Amino acid sequence: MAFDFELPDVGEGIHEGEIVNWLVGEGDPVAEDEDIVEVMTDKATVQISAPVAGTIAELRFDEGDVVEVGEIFVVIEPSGDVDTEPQPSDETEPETARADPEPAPSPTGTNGHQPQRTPEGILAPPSVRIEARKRGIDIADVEGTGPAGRISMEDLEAHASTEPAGEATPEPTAEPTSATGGAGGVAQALPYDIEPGSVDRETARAVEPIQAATVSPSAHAARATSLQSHFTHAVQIDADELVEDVQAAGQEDLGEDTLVTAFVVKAIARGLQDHERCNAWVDEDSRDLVVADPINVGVATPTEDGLELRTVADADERGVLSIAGTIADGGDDAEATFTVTSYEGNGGLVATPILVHPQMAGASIGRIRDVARLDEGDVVPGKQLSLAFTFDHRYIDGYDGALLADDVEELLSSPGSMLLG
Amino acid sequence: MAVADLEQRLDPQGEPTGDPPSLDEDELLRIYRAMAATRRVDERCMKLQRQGRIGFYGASTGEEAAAVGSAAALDEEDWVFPALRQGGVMLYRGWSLEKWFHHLFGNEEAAEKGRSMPCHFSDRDVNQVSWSSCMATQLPHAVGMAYAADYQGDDTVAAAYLGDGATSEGDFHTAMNFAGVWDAPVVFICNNNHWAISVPSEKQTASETFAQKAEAYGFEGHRVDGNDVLAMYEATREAVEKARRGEGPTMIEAVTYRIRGHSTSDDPSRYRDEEEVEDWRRKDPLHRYQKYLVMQDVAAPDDFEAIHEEIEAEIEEALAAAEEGSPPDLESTVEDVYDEVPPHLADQMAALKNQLEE
Repeated sequence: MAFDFELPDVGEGIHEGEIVNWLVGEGDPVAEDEDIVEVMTDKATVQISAPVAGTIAELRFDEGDVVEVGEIFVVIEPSGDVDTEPQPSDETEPETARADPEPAPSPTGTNGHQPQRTPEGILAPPSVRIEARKRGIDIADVEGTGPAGRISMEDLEAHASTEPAGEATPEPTAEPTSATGGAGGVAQALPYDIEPGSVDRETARAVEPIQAATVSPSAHAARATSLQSHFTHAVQIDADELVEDVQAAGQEDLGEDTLVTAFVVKAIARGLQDHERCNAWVDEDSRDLVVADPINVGVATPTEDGLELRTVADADERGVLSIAGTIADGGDDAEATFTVTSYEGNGGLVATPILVHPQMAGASIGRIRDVARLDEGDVVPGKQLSLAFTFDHRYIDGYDGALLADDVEELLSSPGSMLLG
Repeated sequence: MAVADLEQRLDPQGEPTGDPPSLDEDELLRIYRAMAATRRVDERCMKLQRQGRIGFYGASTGEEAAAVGSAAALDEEDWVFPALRQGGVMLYRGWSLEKWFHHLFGNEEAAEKGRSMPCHFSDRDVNQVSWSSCMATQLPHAVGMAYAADYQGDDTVAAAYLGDGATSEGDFHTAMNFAGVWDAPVVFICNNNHWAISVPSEKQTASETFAQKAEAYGFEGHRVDGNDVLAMYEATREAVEKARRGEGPTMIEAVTYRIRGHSTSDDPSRYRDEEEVEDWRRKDPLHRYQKYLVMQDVAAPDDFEAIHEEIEAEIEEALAAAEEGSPPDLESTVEDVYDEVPPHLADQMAALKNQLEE
């Protein structure tokens, strides 16, 4: 009976692991305890060996895939009489005794014995699939000459040489360090050669593994905080006119809070017209900054079912009342390019907006509060709104971020012009 | 203060450098067997953890000599208060691999019936209390036991193991002070394996050596090559004999190295250089001892082969037994603390059973 090998928890409280390197291929014989795969978890990259001797029947994931603990990732057909006996340890042999925590990869991990996969009925090792993706070649178009139609690198080369140049659109070439093949989980490798800071566990009061609940409510946020470099820039805006305009524009079906949000959305959308690099996405595979064409502002709106992202498409071209109506009606069907939290009248002084990956920037609206303001030496009462922007510091530096914030501040200080389109 | 000389009996090539050891051939081979068994069972258990067959493990690769050499100097009646990585001590003292694996699987057959942290072995049969992950807590216990033995007039000695990291704990200093004040028959064996998880030993103390700390408490400290099993044996033997004569405690700093990660949850490549590890691999205690045994005609390479095959077979048998073992009874969770299960625990057990039935 086939042995379904579920990804074990190789640390303490590990949730998932990324397949880094298959050391065996389908059809290869394995001995018990023979290393079959390298898996990277939050804590360590480890080698996992076969719990039973037999033949590798199926490798269910590609290199770069993220596997959850408990998922079947390898199927082994056990056999009582495979000719690969468990390799006796040579660690204690007189001539070779050495302590080796990282055994050399099994010889079956070399080229020619790469794993074969059958996700869509196509047999091709991950290295060939990755190369095909890089070159923009659809693997389904390649004719395999190996056993059962397996596609080798040579087949891929042969296919590439017969294709007219320029027919396929190559995907952006990934850096070698980021060639993780589209892993979507939060445990994805950092796309940069970052040396992680060391953690002093010896003096820790407690060590708490990351809980699934901390991650799952917002995969976007988890990705953003693990991949993007957040920096926040906050401004205090004179809001006397804004408050007057909101009260003047107030309608039965549009609350004042929604109108405040709409003014801010509009001001930011106008600001983004002049600062287009802040209206962009980041492509983590290529590290490209992808500047968006439309300015679609997402509004994170609390509802009874939790936070909902309502998008205002082409917010720069629309009036405040139209924007407010769109937010109240649940938003447009469009991909947001920038995200703002909605105004709830109860915000703190400043809250750090967490980016909505892969967006480049976002903002959160604080509270409008009564302040004492100096007006030519006199203390006068006034209204003040705080607004915080977060940018991905890998692409937007403090100066560029401040320019957008300043423009938005100016617009919101005299907001009358934004009421209509 | 001058750094104390590193006490050695074997140079890194296995050449004897001092007096021959006071051990006969059978004892020399028993030491080898325990070291080789520790090495092999560690390798096997690391694999088992990665396969999801056991939950947690910490290997003592590279530190086998410090454990087995010191254990060989103890009498059966002496008590062992381990830190971590004293599996070699237990194996030398005759603990079975079957018990080892039953413990790792948390089986009914294990002494702790699955109620202790995995890889924290203990057994009354070999006079050993539990391995201690809580640093240095075992040290005052060891001193208390030693003091009690002295008070009662028997000649039991306590062997108190610790790591370099434990010397930063208050319990270490309390234990050292009481041991000195009371002349307690205790031997502190500090495995300076250079890494307390990710903290290097040079960040642990401003002292030149760990051994010199003993001087402040009024007793001797020795700095011993922890990868030289015979030096470890001789230093511990002298300390144990001294303690048994009523001449008080000794501290031994065993200078060695943790080749693998702290545990299966650790990735040492994140905080230390592979070069440093390579340097220490060349000082492998097993390799050094094998050379010595061959050069002294105590064993031939074939003899090692035979020993390894025996160990391999023992591991297979013990692992098979443990994999077929059964989990402890549910009731056992409330047993063994009180002579009779008190009413409040009996109620809780009944409630738990009800819930499980639903």
